[in-house]
Amino acid sequence: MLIDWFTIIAQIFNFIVLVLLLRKFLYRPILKVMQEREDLIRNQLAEAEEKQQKAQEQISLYQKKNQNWEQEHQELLQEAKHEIENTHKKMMVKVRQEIEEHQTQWQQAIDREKKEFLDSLSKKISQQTFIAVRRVLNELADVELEAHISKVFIDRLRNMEQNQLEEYRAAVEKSDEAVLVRSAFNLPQQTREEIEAVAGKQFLNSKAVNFEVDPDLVCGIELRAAGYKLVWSLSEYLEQLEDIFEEGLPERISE
Amino acid sequence: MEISPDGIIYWQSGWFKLNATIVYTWVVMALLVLFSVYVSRKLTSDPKKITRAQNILEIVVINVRNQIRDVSQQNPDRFMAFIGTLFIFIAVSNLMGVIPGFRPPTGSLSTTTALAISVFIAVPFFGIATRGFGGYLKQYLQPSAIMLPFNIIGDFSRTLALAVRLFGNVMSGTMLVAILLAIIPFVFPIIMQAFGMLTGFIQAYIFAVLAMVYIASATTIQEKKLNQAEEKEDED
Repeated sequence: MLIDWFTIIAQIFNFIVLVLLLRKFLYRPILKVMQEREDLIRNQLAEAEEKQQKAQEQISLYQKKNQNWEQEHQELLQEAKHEIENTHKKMMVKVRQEIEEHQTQWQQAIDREKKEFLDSLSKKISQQTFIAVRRVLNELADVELEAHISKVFIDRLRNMEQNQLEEYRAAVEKSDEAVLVRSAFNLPQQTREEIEAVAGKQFLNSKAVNFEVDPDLVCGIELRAAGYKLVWSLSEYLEQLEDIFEEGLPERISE
Repeated sequence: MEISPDGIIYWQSGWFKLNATIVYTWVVMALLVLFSVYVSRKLTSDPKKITRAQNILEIVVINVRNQIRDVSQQNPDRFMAFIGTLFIFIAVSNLMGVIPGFRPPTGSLSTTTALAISVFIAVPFFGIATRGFGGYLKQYLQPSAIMLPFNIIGDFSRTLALAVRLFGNVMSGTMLVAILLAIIPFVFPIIMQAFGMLTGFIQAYIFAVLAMVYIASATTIQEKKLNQAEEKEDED
């Protein structure tokens, strides 16, 4: 007989006991632990998600900050560039101005020096020219020329204008000084007398006349009385010529 | 050679007899309970401190649970102890058949009958617990009253089939190895034993799943009706 009823009952009993024992020692504890772990993991996941969210927020915050910083950085850089450019421009302008000023000063200095040089040059030229002319004229002068000069001088004395004569007369009357006649050459007695006569007639009245020789006059005769002077000499012309030369020559040279 | 371990009687006193079936059942029970107690003492919910033994048991429990859920489409915790124990007991008994001298208790028609009777009792137990006494009995009249005898015959026949299927498979496996040992004593019996382990495991699975299917069929109809009723209430 394959079926033993006692064994069947015993096995049913055994099986029920095993079910109860395993339920107590296996299924319940394990399911409980699994549930706990599931909860734990779920909590951890939730926590992790929360943390991740926070981290994401932090990331976006820092990204934003970074962006702002970058923007500020760029702005500052731009500002600095502008400032540098402005400063550069200003400095360039200043430098240019300074250079121009220096250039101007330098130009002025050059001009001044040039002018001084030209002035002195022209002066020297004219001086030398006239020294030469004077010498030539002095050497050329002879008795005939002297007589001629004397004549011209006497004629001028004779033909003085009325108002000029009156001025001379008034001045001579007030003055105590003697009337001086200077000449480049020694005047002959006849000429001296003639000059005394004409001058006396014109404005001197009875005042005495002194005669002097001065080669600087260059072929000329000069009459000085009470601060007034009546001259005829080549020196006068030469001086006029010299003035014209000195005025005109530097301009011509600088041109 | 005894076909069933029932025949091996170690001790007898009147109607009480201690045969190999009962003794080896106790051995399997003791192993299972001791291992469970040993593991459950060290259980931890911390994923970093799980022991290997806990891991093995968790895998078993999770898989049994998932199978129950798949088959029954219901909350598995209610059936966990019954179906899980069926599976673990049959599987361990069959696998231990590999040990020389060990007579798997499932190779006894008394044991398989006892398990089949347990299922036979468990089906109305869970059915009545879920849908009530009347509700459970009504299912014998489905789809019509004519089907009542066939339903009852079906209940008995499937219980008988459960018992005989498991007994036949395990007994034949043990017998086959014993016969082969006599004919070709080397190597070949080992292959057959390995094969026997596989069939033993499959039989445990089949037994547990069929038990679950029977229980589920006794409980799900009610839930469907409840769902329909709830839907009607919602519509109203």
